[in-house]
Amino acid sequence: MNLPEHLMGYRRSDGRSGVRNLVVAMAAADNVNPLLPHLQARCPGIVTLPASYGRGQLGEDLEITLRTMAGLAAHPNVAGCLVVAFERASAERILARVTERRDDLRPLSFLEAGGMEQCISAAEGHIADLVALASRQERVPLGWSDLVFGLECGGSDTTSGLYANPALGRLSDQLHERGATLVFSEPVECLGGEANLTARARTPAAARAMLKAVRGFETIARDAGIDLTGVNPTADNIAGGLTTIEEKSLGAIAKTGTAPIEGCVGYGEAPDGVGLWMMDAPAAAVENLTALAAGGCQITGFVTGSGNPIGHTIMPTLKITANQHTVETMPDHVDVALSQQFASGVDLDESASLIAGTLVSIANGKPTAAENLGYLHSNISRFGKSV
Amino acid sequence: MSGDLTNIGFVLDPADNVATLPWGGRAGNAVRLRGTALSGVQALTISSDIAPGHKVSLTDISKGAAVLKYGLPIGIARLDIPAGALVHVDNVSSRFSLPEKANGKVADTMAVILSGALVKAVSAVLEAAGAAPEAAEDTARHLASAEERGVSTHGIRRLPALVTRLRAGGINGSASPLLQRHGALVSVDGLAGLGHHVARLATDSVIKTARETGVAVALVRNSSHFGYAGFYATLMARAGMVGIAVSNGQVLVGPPGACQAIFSNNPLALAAPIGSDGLFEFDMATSVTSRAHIAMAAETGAAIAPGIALDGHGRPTVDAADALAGILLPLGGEKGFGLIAALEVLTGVLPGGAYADQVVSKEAEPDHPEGTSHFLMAISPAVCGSEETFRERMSDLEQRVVNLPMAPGTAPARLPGSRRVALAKEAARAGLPLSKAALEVLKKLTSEAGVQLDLVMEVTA
Repeated sequence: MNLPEHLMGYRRSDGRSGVRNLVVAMAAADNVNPLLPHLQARCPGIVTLPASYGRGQLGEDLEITLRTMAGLAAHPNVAGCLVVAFERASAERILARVTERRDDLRPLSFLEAGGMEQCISAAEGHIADLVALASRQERVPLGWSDLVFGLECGGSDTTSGLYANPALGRLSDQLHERGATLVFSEPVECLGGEANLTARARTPAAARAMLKAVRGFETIARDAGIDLTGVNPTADNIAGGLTTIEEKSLGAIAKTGTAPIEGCVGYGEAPDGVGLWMMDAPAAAVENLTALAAGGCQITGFVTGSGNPIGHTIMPTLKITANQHTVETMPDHVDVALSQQFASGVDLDESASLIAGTLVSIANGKPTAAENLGYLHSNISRFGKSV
Repeated sequence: MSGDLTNIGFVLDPADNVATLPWGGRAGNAVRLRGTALSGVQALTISSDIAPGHKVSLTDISKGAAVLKYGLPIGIARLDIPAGALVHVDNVSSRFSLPEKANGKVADTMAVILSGALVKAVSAVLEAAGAAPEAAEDTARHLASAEERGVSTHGIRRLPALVTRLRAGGINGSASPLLQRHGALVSVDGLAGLGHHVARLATDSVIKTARETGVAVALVRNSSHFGYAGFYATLMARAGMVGIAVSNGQVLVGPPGACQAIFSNNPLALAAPIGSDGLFEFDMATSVTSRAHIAMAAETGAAIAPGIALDGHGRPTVDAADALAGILLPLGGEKGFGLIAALEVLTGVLPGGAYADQVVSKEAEPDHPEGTSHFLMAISPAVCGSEETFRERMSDLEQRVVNLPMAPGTAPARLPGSRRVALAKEAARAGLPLSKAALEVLKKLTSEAGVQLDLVMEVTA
């Protein structure tokens, strides 16, 4: 595979690198969301990250929410982030979880500003500063070892398991060889394919952590009265030719290639080193992309069969499909169309090269389909109830 | 787009024995294969029309063999599948649809074995340890049945201890138990033989006796651990009777506040036939939780739930190690303790054998006979009508339970036993899944005994 020596991107003050240079206005909790459309209107170049909750969260649920928000605020694709909160402490507890030094993160309190109009004015001032900082950032050559690449699939069908996922798997192996960090998630999709994962675990601890993540989702489903191995594959899957849950899982796992797996990180947690990692996060696309972004993935490769338009607000999400119908009906939602290659028998390595080419141009600044359309969203999973 | 796409088959790994046809295929046509390393595959004719996305076999796949895609098992062939045939849910089972799953956990299946092969291997291991052939086979059948019915706590994991006790002399593998009939009563001296064998002989005897007398009881003394009680109650139910089985055993349980155990968690089982081939099977031990559960927690350092055990000073504990040195609590507090004591009257005191803490620990003293006692009772429904009427009345009972109105999202109510019966059926169809631990035990013991172990599939990935 002919990969260029460098990607072009931005170095951040914490040593990490990004492929976008975004200025973000983040709501620390849902009670300041109404400010965000005003900030977006007055500062059109920024992106906003609303909060779905943020009040009355407790324990693990609160900790994961704060960790994820910190991961998004200090994301390497972000050149500056204003964290708006009702009271200052709500913003500061997020920024306190940013572990490496970043000089481009600002808290802002609604209460201290003294109301909505004053808060919007103060926010504009901060954003102007952050935009000025961002505009001084220049694209510099990055090595492949600077890349943290997410791997995801959704709306999967026969073409995913048979062609697009294996093609992405070939690219994963190439990126792994070049020292990149790769993160796949959706452990619930691995149910039935655990033997493949544990056989590739770098250490027994990594194998145990992955099994725990996979089975954790089985427990969650069982507590809700659903037997995942009993309902999988679904009647639709079976009608489509999938015979067992093992077959379905191995089709999803194919996107991870064949490299050893270093370990399993928690929701929105950054891997502790290069190589291939699992992340313990639910499979729902927006929540999963949000977790991958918070874990530091600059770009995610997303294989879809029947079509899934969503991209993450701050992490370019590269849509790959080998489904002819999806390519024909939703062409503007697809970054890499592999349907012709699938039908005409093009070698998987060649299709992996096609994905690589698009990955490079998107890293170097070309917008993804989802970025073009603005079909972007971010939402953090809940792990408990509010009080 | 390239012309006709039918009959194209994708192969994802050189080890695969199936190809997937994304655009389907037609009977009598040759598969046009695509994918990696296909040199070993000969020209292949599709034997029936294949719908898009479905698979055909690349080679003859024999019953019990793994179906391989992505180079890994995606399931097990339930039937012989000839090359070129459709490979789908009608001839393949997931490892996860196999028995262990329905225990409420995902199977950690590493291999699959047919029940007959398991009985053969376990019998040979027990014979090598000194058991007589008939006693060895009874024990092996019981262990295999436990695995089939999802009672793996009484399955293969018991085999190493049985071998140890046979070798050390705590169990006399060649004992011929003495059975004496007095009217409806059968008195049994197990002569320290294998409990599974002693109890099976006693069960056969009460079935036979109850056919004459309407009701029969076997009082068994000087036996050994007999496995799960439901096995014997079920044997009686399969013979058309209501069967009851009780046993004492290793001393584990004491009343709240006790510093030392006095009883075992005496199991109580009652089974009966339902309709033409259904089975009611109630089988419970009488402690809140099993000792195995606490031993597992002690190994991993996990805390145990409050209210299940006391330490050696009679104080409540959540520390698994302290609990192992102490006692298990009976279910239902003082009432449960009363139930255990009542069962001890039947199973220990009445037969004239060891009772309560007279039973010897099979772990601490492998060279001493346990003295375990059992109580087995068969009641023929013919006593109060006819067997047919009884079976119908049991069906009606089951319907009344199943039809009970339930809260939304709640599974229908069911009589005990339905899960075990379903598991046993699935095991008969698809073979027995073996967990990693069970497979290791079997491999070690069969290799030590120089015995062949016939697996139909082993996960090597």
